[in-house]
Amino acid sequence: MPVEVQGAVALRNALKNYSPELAKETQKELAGHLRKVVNRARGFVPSSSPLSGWANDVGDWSYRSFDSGTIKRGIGYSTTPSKPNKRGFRTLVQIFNKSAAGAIYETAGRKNPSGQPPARIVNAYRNGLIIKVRESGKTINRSANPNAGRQFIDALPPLVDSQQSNSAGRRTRKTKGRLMFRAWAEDQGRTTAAVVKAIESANNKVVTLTNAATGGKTFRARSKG
Amino acid sequence: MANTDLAIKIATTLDATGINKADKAIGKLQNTVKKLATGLGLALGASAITSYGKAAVKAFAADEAAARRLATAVDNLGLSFSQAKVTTFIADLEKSASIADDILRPAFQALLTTTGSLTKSQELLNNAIQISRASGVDLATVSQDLANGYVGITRGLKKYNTGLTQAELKSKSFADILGIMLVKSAGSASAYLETTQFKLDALTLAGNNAKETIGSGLVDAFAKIGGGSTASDAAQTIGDIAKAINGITQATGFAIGGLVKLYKGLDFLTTFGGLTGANGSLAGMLESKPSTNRSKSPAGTAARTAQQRAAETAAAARAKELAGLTKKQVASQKALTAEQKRQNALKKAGTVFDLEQIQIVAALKGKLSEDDKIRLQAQLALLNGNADLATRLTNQILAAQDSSGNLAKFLSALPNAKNPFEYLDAYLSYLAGKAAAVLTGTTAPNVPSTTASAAAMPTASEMAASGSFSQLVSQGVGASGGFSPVVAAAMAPVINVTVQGNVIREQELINQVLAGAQLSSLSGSPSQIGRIAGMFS
Repeated sequence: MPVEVQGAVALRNALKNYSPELAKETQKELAGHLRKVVNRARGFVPSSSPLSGWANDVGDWSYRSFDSGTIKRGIGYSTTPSKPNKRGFRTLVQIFNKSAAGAIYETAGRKNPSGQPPARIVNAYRNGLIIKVRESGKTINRSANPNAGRQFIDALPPLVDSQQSNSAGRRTRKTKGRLMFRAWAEDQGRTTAAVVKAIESANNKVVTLTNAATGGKTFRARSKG
Repeated sequence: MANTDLAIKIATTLDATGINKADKAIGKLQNTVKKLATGLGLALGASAITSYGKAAVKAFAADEAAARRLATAVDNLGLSFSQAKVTTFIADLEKSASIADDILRPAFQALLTTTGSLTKSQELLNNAIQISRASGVDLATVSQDLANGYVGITRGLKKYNTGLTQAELKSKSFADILGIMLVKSAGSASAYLETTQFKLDALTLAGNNAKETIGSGLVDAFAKIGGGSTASDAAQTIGDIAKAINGITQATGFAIGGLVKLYKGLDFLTTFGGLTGANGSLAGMLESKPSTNRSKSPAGTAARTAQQRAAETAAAARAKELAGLTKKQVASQKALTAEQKRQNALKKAGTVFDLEQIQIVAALKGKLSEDDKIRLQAQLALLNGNADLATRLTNQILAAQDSSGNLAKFLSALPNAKNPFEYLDAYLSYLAGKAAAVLTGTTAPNVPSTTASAAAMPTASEMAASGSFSQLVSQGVGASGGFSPVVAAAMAPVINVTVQGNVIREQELINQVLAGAQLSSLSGSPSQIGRIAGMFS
């Protein structure tokens, strides 16, 4: 559950206009806090593939084959405000895991803990006849090995829930993972507090600066909750 | 920047700039729409626009689903190349008969899936429309009935008042029944085209098609233009618009007709009476194209006709098979009827050898009273199962038995019978006393008196002179209230009694008495017979 900060965009513009140095300083301060989490997450990436076949860079799996370096590089942070979503919210600070292999390692087994279900034989209407066909689709196990999904998940470390029982917001499967979410769970909210404190600190500084320069104009960047 | 959803968002902020812009833009759009609506005399709001869209999509979806169902049916019959022909046929029929395609499609589908023949289905659908117009039954029902009739289920055809009995409907072929129905409904389809109802149907159809195409929201709009809110207002407006368009079309047609005439006149002059020009007779003579001997049919015609031929052959074979089945059914029905007749004849012949009947018939040939004759006839009727005759004859017998009621009176007036050997007691006592006197030496008792107290029994001539059976009864009863032995002895000879009413035989009398006794018993007065005491009560 992210912290909502009011007036953050105005603060950012003010920092750029009135104190570019302070803006850079703030960015660095935020990055310092985020880097800790990112490094911790990168540390959870194994050096070799948990399943030897996943590392084979061939066929359809070439772009998502296991590569430790790619996964580590895919884990990062951003302090640039994102584009507004459909409800108008912009993300100011976030950490992410953007590589395909990293996403697989992070989330495998989140939806189906025992792997995708095998294809069943179902009735289908074809050319005026009802015939028996095998199920197909993205939600069905397409491997010749019916236990492939379960075997893959069993070879990976367990999922860790980043959302604690006393945290605000819902606990869903989307808050569970093995890299970034595990690091975030171990962080126990310290980074969030540091980020909010850094933003408020920057706000206070810019308020002081603008008061001196314009005679009273303030930017109220503060956490809503 | 992270281009992924797999991220943990730490801090966010609400940037309402875009939303505010969107709100402002929507506000402007609404103002513009309102101004436009005001200009057109409309007052369309956002909800009206939404409803319009929804209705349009719904109507379109329903139409598409019906079309797809028919297309699938055509495909499944192996006539996929004839899809275009089917579509054209439905569209043309919709225009000519003013029946909505959403009614025509299911009707056609029912016939097509039953017959398997495209041409037969088209023919039957046209027949169904004619019958529907004549009978007033909706087209879907008529089509289904015809489809059922095609496969021999003619029960549903009864409602069209063909004049055929149920048995005839079963025994006649579908072609024969359809022929009769078509004869009776001939001309109704063309006559319907002259009616106002047909014009109204056409208008409704146009309105429905418009609704399908652009949604019911437009109909609402028409209603509002017409100054109302109901569908009839919309229909009125559509009618007004149609009239206006009709006027414009007529005027345009007149103008175009004039121009065509003018052009034709000029063309005739410039081509020297049609001699020159691109299509002139001179050009035809000079530019005669050699024949390529190739078919001018569009692509796919061969495949379509091949498919159609195959389907027609299969349908003809099926029709032949159905006809054979019907023939067999009729033959088996006839055979069954003949067998039943034969069985009845045998049963009738069997009755000739029935001993009971033989006896009755023999008895009837003898000399009988009218009453006996009726009884035998009634019994014979009962044996033959002729209930009507048996009932009639039985009623005659009952009427003849006791029409006056005298019999019942006589039976009720009969006195209690006494012991006729009562006087012997005195003699026996006298003999016993005499025997005792002989043994003991005492005086013997007196001889008992033999004179009875009963009145003398009248002779037959006296009874005849009296002329009344009641008198006999009163004399017989006497003072003692019963018949004396003398009277009983006097009654022993045969006595001819003349009474007013009917004379019944002994057995009948017994039966009557028994019936009376039973009736009394059932009424709570049971009969008691004391043989020793000579009692009957």
